[in-house]
Amino acid sequence: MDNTVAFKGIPGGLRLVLHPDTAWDAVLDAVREGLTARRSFLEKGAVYFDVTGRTLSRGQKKELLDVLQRDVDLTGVRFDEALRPNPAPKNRIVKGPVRSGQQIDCEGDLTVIGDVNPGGEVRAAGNIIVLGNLRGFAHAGRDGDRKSIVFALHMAPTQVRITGYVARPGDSGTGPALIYLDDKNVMTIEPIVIGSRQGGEGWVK
Amino acid sequence: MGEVIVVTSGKGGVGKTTTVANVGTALAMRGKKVVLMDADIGLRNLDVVMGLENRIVYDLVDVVEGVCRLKQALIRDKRYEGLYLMPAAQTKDKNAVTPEQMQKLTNELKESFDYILVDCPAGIEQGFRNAIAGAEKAVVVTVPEVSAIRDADRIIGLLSAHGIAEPMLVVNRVRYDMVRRGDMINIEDTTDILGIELAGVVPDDEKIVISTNRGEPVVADPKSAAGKAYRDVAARLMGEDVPFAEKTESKGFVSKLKALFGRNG
Repeated sequence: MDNTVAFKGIPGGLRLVLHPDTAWDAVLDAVREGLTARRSFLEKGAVYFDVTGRTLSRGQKKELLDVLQRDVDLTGVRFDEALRPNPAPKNRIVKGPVRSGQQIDCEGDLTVIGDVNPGGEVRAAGNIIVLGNLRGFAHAGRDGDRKSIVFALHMAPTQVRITGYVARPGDSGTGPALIYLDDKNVMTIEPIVIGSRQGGEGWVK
Repeated sequence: MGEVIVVTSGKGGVGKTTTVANVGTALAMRGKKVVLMDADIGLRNLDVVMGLENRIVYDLVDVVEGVCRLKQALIRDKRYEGLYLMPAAQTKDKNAVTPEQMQKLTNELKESFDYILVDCPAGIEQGFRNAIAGAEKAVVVTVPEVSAIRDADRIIGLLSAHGIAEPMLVVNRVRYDMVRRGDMINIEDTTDILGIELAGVVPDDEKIVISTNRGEPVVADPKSAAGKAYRDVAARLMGEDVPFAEKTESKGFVSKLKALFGRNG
């Protein structure tokens, strides 16, 4: 019953997040209870309601308005028809090690805290940052973002791809480095010296 | 209540059966009640390595199918008090048992034994899934070679996905002379990649070949370096803090001189 309606403070009023599946009567009851519990806040002045989490029929909207208007000075009510109050975050942080045979995929930027072992595969639509040893496979910009990069504290991958371009850095893989696609579509590896001022040429996002 | 420990590797031939036989025997030598369970159905080896193949009447599949009682399939090793073998079947294959049946079996054994060591077959398919079914802990065996380490890494990931979180590592067949020359991966690099706690480092030892053929686990031989290493693994599994031996196999000129003139040379 607890998450039938969530009340969240917003500037000028309250956001009501309605559970999409609970019976409508139960939702109305929960709204009434919640408003009663917040009586002192609601009496302070005019209130704006932002209603979200559930698509309402016309009849339901009317019923809800009746409940909201009772004893409350309304400045306005907005019905937000988008059903997901919390869109899934696109960026991911994953704790390593990513082991051989494991695959991580990400719609945004991927950060691995730890290693990517040989045989392990990490892919992202955006950038890939490995705060550890990259010894496996990394594919950044998998959907075509050619500005994506791959960074690792120790760059020794089996293979790196950015969009459709492939690179297999030689055994010079030692310290921290980032791999990017330059203007001429050449996969370029740029060592990063941590703690010093880096010069401006090379990769600039 | 006993502990069920699966000994696995991914790669074949790295020493799982040898590890089960020797660590199990070492635990029994320390007074524990131990069952060595061969989960490699169709390619059983644990009975041979233990020298008990002539005494097999019933096997694990017979127990699961209800042909015999659990106790009837357990072979008591007459050399060591408290040491028993549950052999696999040789004429069936890995599809003869299910993970649920394996778990039921190990649960029953837990009630009367301190340790149940499960010898897992190579691979990641049905045999592996059967072997890990009842296990709470795991020992991953590898050798210092890229292919074995790659497979061990995969296995560790799979164990984790099946709820066995922190396996311990045995690095087997280490040749310190090659490590010193840089021809063999050293222990630190191995544990670096695999990232799990070390249960033991076992040197390559000719005596293993002999002991396997004789069916006498090498832990009984006080002169065997591998035997000592396996006894240390058993001690660590029992929770003891055994420091790792320094690489004392120095075959350099100076130590040869020392050997020539005796200890005080």
